[in-house]
Amino acid sequence: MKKTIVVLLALMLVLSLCACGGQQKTDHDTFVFGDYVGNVDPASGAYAWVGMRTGVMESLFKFDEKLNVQKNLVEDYSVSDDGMTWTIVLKKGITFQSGNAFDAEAVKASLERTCSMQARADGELKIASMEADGLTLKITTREPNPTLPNCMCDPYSGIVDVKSLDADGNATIGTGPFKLVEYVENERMELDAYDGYWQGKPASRHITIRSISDLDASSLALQKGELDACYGLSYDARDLFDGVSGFKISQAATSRVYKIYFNHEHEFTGDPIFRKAVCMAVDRDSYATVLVNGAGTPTKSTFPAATAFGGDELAANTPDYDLEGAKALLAENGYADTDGDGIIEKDGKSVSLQIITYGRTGLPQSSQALASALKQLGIDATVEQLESTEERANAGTYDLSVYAEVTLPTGDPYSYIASNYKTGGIQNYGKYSDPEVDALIEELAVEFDADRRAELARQIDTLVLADNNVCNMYHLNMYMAMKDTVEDLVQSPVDYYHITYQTRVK
Amino acid sequence: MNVSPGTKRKLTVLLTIFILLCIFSLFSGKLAPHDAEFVDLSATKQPPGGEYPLGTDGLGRCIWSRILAGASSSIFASLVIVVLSMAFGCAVGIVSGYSGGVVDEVIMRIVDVFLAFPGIVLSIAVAGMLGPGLKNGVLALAATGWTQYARLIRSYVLSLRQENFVKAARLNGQSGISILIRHIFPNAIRPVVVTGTLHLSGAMLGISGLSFLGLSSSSAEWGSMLSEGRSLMQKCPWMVLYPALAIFLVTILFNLLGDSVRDVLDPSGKNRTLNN
Repeated sequence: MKKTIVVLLALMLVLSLCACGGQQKTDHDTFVFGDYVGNVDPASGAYAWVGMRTGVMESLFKFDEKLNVQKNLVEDYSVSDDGMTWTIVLKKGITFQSGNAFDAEAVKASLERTCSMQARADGELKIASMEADGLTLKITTREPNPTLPNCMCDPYSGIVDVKSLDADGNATIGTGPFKLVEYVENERMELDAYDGYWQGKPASRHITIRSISDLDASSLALQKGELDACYGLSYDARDLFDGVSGFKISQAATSRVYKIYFNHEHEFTGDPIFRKAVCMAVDRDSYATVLVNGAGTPTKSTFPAATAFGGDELAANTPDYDLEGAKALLAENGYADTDGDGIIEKDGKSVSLQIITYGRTGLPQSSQALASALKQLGIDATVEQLESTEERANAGTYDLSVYAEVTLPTGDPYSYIASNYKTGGIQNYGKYSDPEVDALIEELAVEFDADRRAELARQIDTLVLADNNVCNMYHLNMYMAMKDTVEDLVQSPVDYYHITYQTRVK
Repeated sequence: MNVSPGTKRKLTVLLTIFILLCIFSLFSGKLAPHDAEFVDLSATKQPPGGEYPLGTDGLGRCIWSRILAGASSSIFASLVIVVLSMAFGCAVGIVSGYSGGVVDEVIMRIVDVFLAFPGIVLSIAVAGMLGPGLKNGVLALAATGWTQYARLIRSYVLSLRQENFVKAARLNGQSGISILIRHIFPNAIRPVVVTGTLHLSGAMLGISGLSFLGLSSSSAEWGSMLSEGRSLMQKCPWMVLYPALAIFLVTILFNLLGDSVRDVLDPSGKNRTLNN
């Protein structure tokens, strides 16, 4: 009996090992991509970008690689002199994946549906009314909205076929090169080529998007050949594909800034001198090269230097990494270790800081490096890594937060500036407030002239950075790794565009 | 009870190593050549050798120093988990077994509820609710580990209650508490000690597991070192190799010690396995 059991167990072991070896063979017509999966409906909220990344949805306008707005489904457009009415002429010959016609009436219905379902879209597009006539759409806004074309690049502006919603009321039909045929939550999406696509027949016949939540498992899947390409790998994993035979990577600088924001209502972080000393403990060059494995571009300004809104000249008072200088600065201003416990005090109160952060690659590492540097200054800093920092930030139970955020989500600086730097802005967690900055932000909101907008954004950033109210560290480069046989899959700086109609495996 | 001199010798040796390890872990943090938390971005991912005998991690921290600093948290955390679960489990088990009736019924059903979930899953849930931190990790594992002691000691108490010496004590007019402490507990302690030593390795793996998942300590701890190093496993294997080796060796020691304690104290229970 015992022998039989042993034999059976051995047999099972062998069988299970065989199962491990069964490598998935990918054929040339199917492209398997590791990426997030989700609802493709642009009105679905937080994950609105899934539809655009997978090539199901398209918007009227599109960003080029320098974040300039380009016409996409649009032949021509113009705005009236009072800045209230936009006339948009749509391209001819475009159809939805359902076969339904793409015209001004369809676009109107799609935008109306999105604005009624999503507050952010409604708040940013500011549409008061629309008139559809053939391929001409007239949009009247509630107030002058200079960033309307920018907002029409945002994934929420993806145009859907309102006439063919699915059983749950989700819009799954767009004008893109691929049509969603199956979606398994948290697992995969299956997409078929749409041969009636207006730019031409898609190169891949079928696309499978697989969601692998563990980053290391994703890299292994790509190494093993289960995936043709993968987005969102860890920065440590880049060395496994960059310059390695059989693989290649595509990367792009993005506007995502890694930064420190301070709680202005707290004793030490409310002091500009103290904030300057903390900024001097930030070794942004090393963070950018070491902590994210070379995928960072050090920055002092909020927006990337390559855009019209950024450049280190805006941050004249943001110090370089200089621990000795920071020690001296603190000592000159009454921060000293008087009781010999290794922690400095100010007016009898020892300086301890609560740093909060979350799990995005580079943030915990930057926080630990910062805490270690602050310790050398005699500051007792502890790092708390949270699932999300929002709740604590709103409650004000922190001293500083190491945080990452996209600064140019629509290619325009207004939304970031208004939410981060305006008094009471929704992301102004540190409660920063400056009437001069507020006035400039109000001016920026309604300014149509591009040069003047850039000038205003630069002025605002200069004012904010003058007292080290935030400490920008680096902008992140995003990358995708893929087999070297993959064609036309390019990491875009805006991160909304992944799969195009030409993407394929040779 | 016949215990061979060889078995006793084995126990002496293992116990000596265990005690030395505990004493060592008390001071190991002080023996570290570098500050375990000191980030040196100019010395990241260095292979073992020279200034850093076991290499450095992705933040340039000395792995040898972190293993030494982590020894106290990892080893002491497992000791505290065992002591806490043992104390609470025994108290509950004795009360349950000695009171009998409704109290026993209620307590045992509560134990059943705890046993209905896999231990580590329950610990993850508890640690998730309490928030990250070594103290919370220890509490989470103790909160799920006590049930085995409660069951074990209850069964001994139930059988000891029927013994003549207990009946005699009761006739003598001794109070319930005094009988429990003087007569019943000393007779039930052996299997508890055996279970405790066998539980040590489980607790060690439990706390490392929680730290690996980021639910326990964020400072130097063997489990969290594994987690931090795993994305670099292919390029810098030393980042996971040495903490894993430390966990492996200490767990082996705890297991051998547990077996040996059982051989000496409770030879009849040789086939007992832990449900952890």
